[in-house]
Amino acid sequence: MISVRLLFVCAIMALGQGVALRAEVSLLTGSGHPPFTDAAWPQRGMITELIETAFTESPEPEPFRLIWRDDWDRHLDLIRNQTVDMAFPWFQPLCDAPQINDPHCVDFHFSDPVIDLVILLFVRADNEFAFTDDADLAGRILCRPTDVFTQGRAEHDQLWHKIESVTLKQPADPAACFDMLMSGDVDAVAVNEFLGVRQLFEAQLTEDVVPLSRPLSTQSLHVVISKTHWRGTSLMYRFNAGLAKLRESGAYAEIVSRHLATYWARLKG
Amino acid sequence: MTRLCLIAGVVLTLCTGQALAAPCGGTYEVARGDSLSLIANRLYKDASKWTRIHAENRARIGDDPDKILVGAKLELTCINGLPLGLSVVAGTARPVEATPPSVDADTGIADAQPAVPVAAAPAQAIRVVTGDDQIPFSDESLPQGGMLAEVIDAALAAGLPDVPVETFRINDWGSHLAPLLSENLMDLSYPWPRPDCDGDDTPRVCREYGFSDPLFEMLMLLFVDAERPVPLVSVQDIQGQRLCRPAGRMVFMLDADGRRWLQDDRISLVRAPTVAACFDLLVAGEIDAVVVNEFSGRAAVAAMGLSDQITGLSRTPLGVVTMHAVVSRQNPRGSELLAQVNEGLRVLRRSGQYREIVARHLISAWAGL
Repeated sequence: MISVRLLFVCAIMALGQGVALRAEVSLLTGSGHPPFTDAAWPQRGMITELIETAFTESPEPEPFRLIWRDDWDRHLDLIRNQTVDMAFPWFQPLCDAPQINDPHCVDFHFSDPVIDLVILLFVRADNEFAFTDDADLAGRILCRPTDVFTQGRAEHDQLWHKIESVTLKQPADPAACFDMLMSGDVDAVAVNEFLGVRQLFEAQLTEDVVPLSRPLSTQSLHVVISKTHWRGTSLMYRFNAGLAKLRESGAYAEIVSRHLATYWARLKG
Repeated sequence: MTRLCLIAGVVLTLCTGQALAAPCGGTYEVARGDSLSLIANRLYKDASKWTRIHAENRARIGDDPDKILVGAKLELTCINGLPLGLSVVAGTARPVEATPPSVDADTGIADAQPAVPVAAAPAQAIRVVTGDDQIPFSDESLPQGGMLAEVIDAALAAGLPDVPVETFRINDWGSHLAPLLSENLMDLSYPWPRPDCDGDDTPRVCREYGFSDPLFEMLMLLFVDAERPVPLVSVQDIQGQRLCRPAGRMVFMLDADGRRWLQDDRISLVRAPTVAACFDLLVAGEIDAVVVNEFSGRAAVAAMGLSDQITGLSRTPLGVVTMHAVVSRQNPRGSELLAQVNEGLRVLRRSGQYREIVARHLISAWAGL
């Protein structure tokens, strides 16, 4: 392995003067989040495939390699200290909102949204939970599991700023939220649609728990890079331009619908 | 030709008509600041020959070509008549027919240098020229003179530890490449964006100047009135537009990627003395867009209090540009200097010093916007 790598470096250096010694762009992600990023999923996940394809389609494309690490809580530090170049997928805080002074907004460039997730309220089927207006949440107890992509920062959800009388419970495990829902300790579980539906199937709660049709909020997933990276803006431009090309060509829709079909087939199977 | 012979003592014998056999190859003792590519560049006139040196001395160096010890003795075999003037150890060197120095067909300038290790000669100062108005990269008002001023200073210190460096600030950017570099009045200028030197139609600047490894990468943007109705994306949008580019800066990006805005006279190009002067013209409505890199542009817009009025079209950049240090190919020590700068950059990148310098300057740059 060492000799192969050394030969590769030699080959680049031998190109001589004026040719940049360019390393591959390293992209950091982790497993365990089907259908988004998961080493065992087809194409290692929907977002993984979208991001790899976007980089391949980008203007002046750069070679890249994926790095898989499952210690998600370390990912953003590895981006900050530039051990790796870029990471995905991460939620973007509301950087333009005046009340939010989030260090992530200072430290990172966020790409255009790779996908938008709908956050739904999951409630007991036997419990009438009227949710036609955000104000309906006043006085309610909600369970919002800490999410690896937000690093447990539920304050990013716009809603908590609007309705101060909501009580939040935040276990790390989403399954714990559904246990609390069934035992009556919380009124609703707020999670993204994919995670919620998967929990229902895994806990065999598909008859007892239903999602409300009105979304609580949406959250988008992004690629991030340090604002102090020597090619931070140019790598982000390449990615965004590649992603836009995917959306225009229809490749984006094809990739997403293929993974969704697999996801549903596996849930029901 | 006579003058050349006086300069290059090794070649002197050739001019007398006596084709003497010179000893080629031999033993070289690693000096402080050496790297294999520097040695290869100096003695073989070809930095890429470092792979041969490494391969043939692997028993002494080991697998890692970056780890060579001062005082280590390397055996340099004779390749194409080089290297000359090394101490000869029995069995390693062989006499060769001395070949005349190569002469560039266009310039008539011979690629001849004293074939002795530079370490043996008194160190002559490297003359570096930069200038102001390249925020955050180079400006006297910035800490350490700017991000790339600090990077170049550190790279030279790492790549040429024993050679004095004199840095000059000359704000007439148009004078840097010619005549300052072309007449050897200066050795190195920075920062400069590099056009596509690898394409089918190599630009003249790539033939006449050598570019270092990239020092930084970013987007080249058009800055326009934020209320502007025309997006400046398609050929139709750009027809007849008046674009301002600060004086003395390269304009290749206006013709890159098949754009041919200048070549086909699609736009009129206005040169103003500074970045700020271009933005003054934009505010006054005398031009339609300023062509400048995203960082210098945003810094000028913020400093002039124009953030609500002027926007950079970062969604449709003129391209990705890398910034470089530049030497003239006419400069006899140009290619070696470039190899030393690149070696210094590699040292900085490996040690993390490059990242630290860039981060410190970028944090200030982003905070000021």
